Amino acid sequence: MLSDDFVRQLINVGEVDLLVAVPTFNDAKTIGPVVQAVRLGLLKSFPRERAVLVNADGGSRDGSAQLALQASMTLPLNAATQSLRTFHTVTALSNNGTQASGSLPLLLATADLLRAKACAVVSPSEHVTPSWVERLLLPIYRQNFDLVAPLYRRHKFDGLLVKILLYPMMRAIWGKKIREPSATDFGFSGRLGASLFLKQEMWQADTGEIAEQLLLSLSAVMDGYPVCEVFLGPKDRGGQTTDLVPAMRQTVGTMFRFLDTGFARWQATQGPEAVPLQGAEQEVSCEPLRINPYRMHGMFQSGVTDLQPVLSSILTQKTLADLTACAALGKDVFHFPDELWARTVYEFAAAYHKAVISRDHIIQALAPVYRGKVYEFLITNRHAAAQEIEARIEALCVAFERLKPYLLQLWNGHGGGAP
Amino acid sequence: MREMILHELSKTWDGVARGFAHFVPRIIVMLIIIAAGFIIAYLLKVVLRGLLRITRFEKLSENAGTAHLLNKAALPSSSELLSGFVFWIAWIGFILLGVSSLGILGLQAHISRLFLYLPRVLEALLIVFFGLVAASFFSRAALLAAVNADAPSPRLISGAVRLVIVALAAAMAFEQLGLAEQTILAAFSILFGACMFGLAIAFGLGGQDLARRALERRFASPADHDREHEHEPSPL
Repeated sequence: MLSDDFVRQLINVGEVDLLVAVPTFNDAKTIGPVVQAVRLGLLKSFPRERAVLVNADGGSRDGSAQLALQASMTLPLNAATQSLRTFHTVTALSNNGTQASGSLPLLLATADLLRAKACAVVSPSEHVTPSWVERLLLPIYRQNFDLVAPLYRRHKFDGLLVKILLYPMMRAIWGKKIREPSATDFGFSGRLGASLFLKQEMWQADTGEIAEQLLLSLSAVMDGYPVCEVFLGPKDRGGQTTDLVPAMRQTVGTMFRFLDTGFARWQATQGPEAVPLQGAEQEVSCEPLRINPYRMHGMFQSGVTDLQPVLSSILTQKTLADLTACAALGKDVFHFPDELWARTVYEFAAAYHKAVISRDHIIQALAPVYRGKVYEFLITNRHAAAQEIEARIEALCVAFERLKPYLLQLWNGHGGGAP
Repeated sequence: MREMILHELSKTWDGVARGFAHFVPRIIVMLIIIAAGFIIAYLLKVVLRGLLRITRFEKLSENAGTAHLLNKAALPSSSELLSGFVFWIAWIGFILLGVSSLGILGLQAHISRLFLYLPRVLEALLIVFFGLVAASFFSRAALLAAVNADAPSPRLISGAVRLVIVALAAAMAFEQLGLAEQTILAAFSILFGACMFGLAIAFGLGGQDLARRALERRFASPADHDREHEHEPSPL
């Protein structure tokens, strides 16, 4: 996993208190300012701590890794603080240099070797400021939290997979209200990293198909590590995959896989509890955005019709009939009840558990159904303010929580009778 | 004269009796072989059924859609079918072995030829089975990919994939059996070549715009790709 050259670089670094990782993949435009922001943040908030910046590059062809190294050597002119420690920067090729994601195993191994107490992963986005470093590391370094999940300022229609699937499932199944369980910026403790690194079975899937922060969030929640949330600022609209199926493979696949691993834990989890919040609440922006929801409706309709043979092996007869009836509704009278969405997701999760067909096919078959729920969300909340959106997401979460016994029933092989 | 007739009759009778005395033990041996063969074949069937259950063969078959196909054809489950097939192959083998123990000239040559042919039948059946499994898997993969790419006629694409794989498996099975090898090979080559040629023409000429969009999507820079998706809300 670690190349000889990289291990030599780590030996030169020695032990550290803090580790900040910046994964890159053709991010030449933003990497310089991000590295400088990280360095400034470390200088301002942790001048006495030993720190290292790790650039895990996924094989950039635009010289991102070299730019990261260059940027780490100079401080901006406005930097008033003097460093009390030598600042180290190491670079490594993550995931054999094939893609952007997949750097977490390398970072966990690095954190373990350097005995870092607190680690932060910061995506190379233009919104990164020095304060992000403090917000992600301080709760771990000073307050004994093991995972810091971010909160952002985001558009009401951004991150819909998180809003209508991952967050409600996280709440209902694992009992923790983590709003961004699958973000690209997060902090974690050395001990959480070490415990996850040792669980090799979790890395069985192709690393490019694992949502890394989601894996950390689920692992922390499953093993009872303390989690908190911090507000970071605006979230970059780019940087993450916009393709639905790969995004679902990474996130929903990881979520479903964890249901298998942690059944003993989640079956006994009671009602959802909020996680401590450090700083401001999340913000929702509602400015107009050019979105074409009708394509979603068309893809939902054709998807449900064309995938009948596949859906019939995944869903119960009642759910499939309800979905088919839902798909028959016109654009103007369209309604996809929260209860039906929650039931559908749970039946997909149970089918994934039982591997009724290829697991990858199950995830792919969920995509058209998800588009139907997204269409409803977009249409219903076209003119909605932040509070209304929040109320609707809350109602969706309640539907997921109410149907948790149904998931347990399906899990234990008593499916067939939808509630 | 009378004595001569009686002598010949008694000689013939002796010959028949001697022949019969030689033949009866062979019949008994044949019956023993067939009975023992039945027991061994039955044991093989039971063991194989158990092994298939342990290795979750039924699940594999369900995943691949073979169970669905068998169900449609009102056939028993795939593990039952396979273990039944092994039972019959083993028992027929013992029956032929028993018959050959009778020592009837000419029959033995036919039996040995039949014995040599059995593995090829088994191989052909395996090819057909795995061909159906592959056809089911890849046609479903094509259906899902086409639906998620919003491609026109996903079912047609999926059906075409299934047809090509089933045709390939059938051609391979016939070749294995040695039945009309050249004809099957030529027919398959013509069919496959015609399909591919037709698809290439349809994609390149009939679907110029689709081809351009597909190539752009494949080779365009990430920035262009993002622009294309600007009307879709980001999932993460």
